[in-house]
Amino acid sequence: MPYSNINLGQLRALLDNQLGQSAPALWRTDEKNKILQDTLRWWNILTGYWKGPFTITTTASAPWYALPAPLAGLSTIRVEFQSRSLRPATRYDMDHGRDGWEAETTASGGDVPTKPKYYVIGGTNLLGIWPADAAGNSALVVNSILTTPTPTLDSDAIDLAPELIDPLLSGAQALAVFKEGGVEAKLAGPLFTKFIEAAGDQCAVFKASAAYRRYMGIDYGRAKMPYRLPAAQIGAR
Amino acid sequence: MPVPIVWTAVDTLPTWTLTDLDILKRLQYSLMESLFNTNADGINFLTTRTSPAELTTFMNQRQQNFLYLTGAIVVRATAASVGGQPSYNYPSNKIHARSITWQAVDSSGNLTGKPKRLERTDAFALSLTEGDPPGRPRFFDDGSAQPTLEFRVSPVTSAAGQFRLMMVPQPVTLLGSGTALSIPDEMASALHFGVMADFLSSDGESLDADRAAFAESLYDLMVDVTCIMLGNDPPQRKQSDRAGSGAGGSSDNATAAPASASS
Repeated sequence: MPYSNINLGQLRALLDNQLGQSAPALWRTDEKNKILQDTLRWWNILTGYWKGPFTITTTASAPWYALPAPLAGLSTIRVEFQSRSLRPATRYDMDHGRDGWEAETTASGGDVPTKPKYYVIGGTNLLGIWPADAAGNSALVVNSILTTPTPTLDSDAIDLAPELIDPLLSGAQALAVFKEGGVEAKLAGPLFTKFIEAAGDQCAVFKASAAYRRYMGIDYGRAKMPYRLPAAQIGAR
Repeated sequence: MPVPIVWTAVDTLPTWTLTDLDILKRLQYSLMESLFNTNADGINFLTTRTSPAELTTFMNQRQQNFLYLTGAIVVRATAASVGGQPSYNYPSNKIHARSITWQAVDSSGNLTGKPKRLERTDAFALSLTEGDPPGRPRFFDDGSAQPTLEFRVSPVTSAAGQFRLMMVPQPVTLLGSGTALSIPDEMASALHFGVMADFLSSDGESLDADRAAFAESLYDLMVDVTCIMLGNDPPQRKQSDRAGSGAGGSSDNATAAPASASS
């Protein structure tokens, strides 16, 4: 059930406050709407905030399925076949761990399972299963990050938890002040950092990732390898 | 020059909602190039400092680079192999081959046996198996000693078969006239900030190293996040770009060098 506590017009009014303007000056309404839409997209890709299921009908013995765009397919989180969840695997895993896996179906016999066991991420637009469904015509329920809601009218409600409005405004402000250059543009860095921190708090997978550490400047590798020698100093040692 | 083989596309290149014109409008606002008291249209710029054509060129380069670095979009293609032929051409729209498999074809033209993945290797390693009797190819090389858009297999195929290629394709060429992007909408900011980084780091009156560095760090972040979503390792970058290169690493972006996205 979506949130409906704020709409685009209200969110833009809050952004106006952040930008210190009550009337259009440096940013036009159209620009601020685009900035807010961009911020929502950033939030979705960083945290996987808007998720949902959609169903693909399997084709007999087909290992790969094109994901429908733009409905879904950003990132697959969970896949169910006949109400049983499949385990995730990458194409590299399957290619190197199970040679010839694309030809194996639930009817292959031997050590091949009789129901699909793994789902394979080919790309944002391609999803594989192993073994392929020999009979076909079964439901493959894919739970994925969905396309970000894009409000265009002031009255369009945004499915957003109230506690996330503040960090999102920081992100939007960063994207807005970036164009000013000079001192104002330097504000964009810390503001976007606040946005990224909030995204890390929202999504543990992102917070544990190299992308988060790299952006935040957290170099764990350096901390693990301290200098053995103290810094050189003048005088007797 | 090998005898050309004809690739048949299995998948079509998906397209999303946002267009190059949408990105041009965002760029126009970000560069303060929209006409006075008018919404950005992506076409009529305030000054001659830049033009939609120049920004669209940057956009095409960034779109290709983004797909190359992330492999976000993949498509499949098939082609018949020729018995005894070691070298083959790729489809002309290939950016990167993710995998190649080969499956034998019987005398009736039907696929037989299991499709087997070819292991990617280099020219030196490939040469060690090239003396093997013809049969099922097990290795391929498309880098170290091959012309562009060609790959070489070893051992050579003994009879007819079929290659199946999974590749990162060239995106649709953007013209700045409303062409849909070849990357998902959520990743479109990578183009916006990638183009900003290119433009602001180019020599001339547009040069702004601080803002270019910030824009590049956002492009890199989008590349990294996309790679992680797909279960791939993010691309390696210079050590100096790792710690503190993002906006969070330092309160002063002037210390951050623009990252080398193509490394």
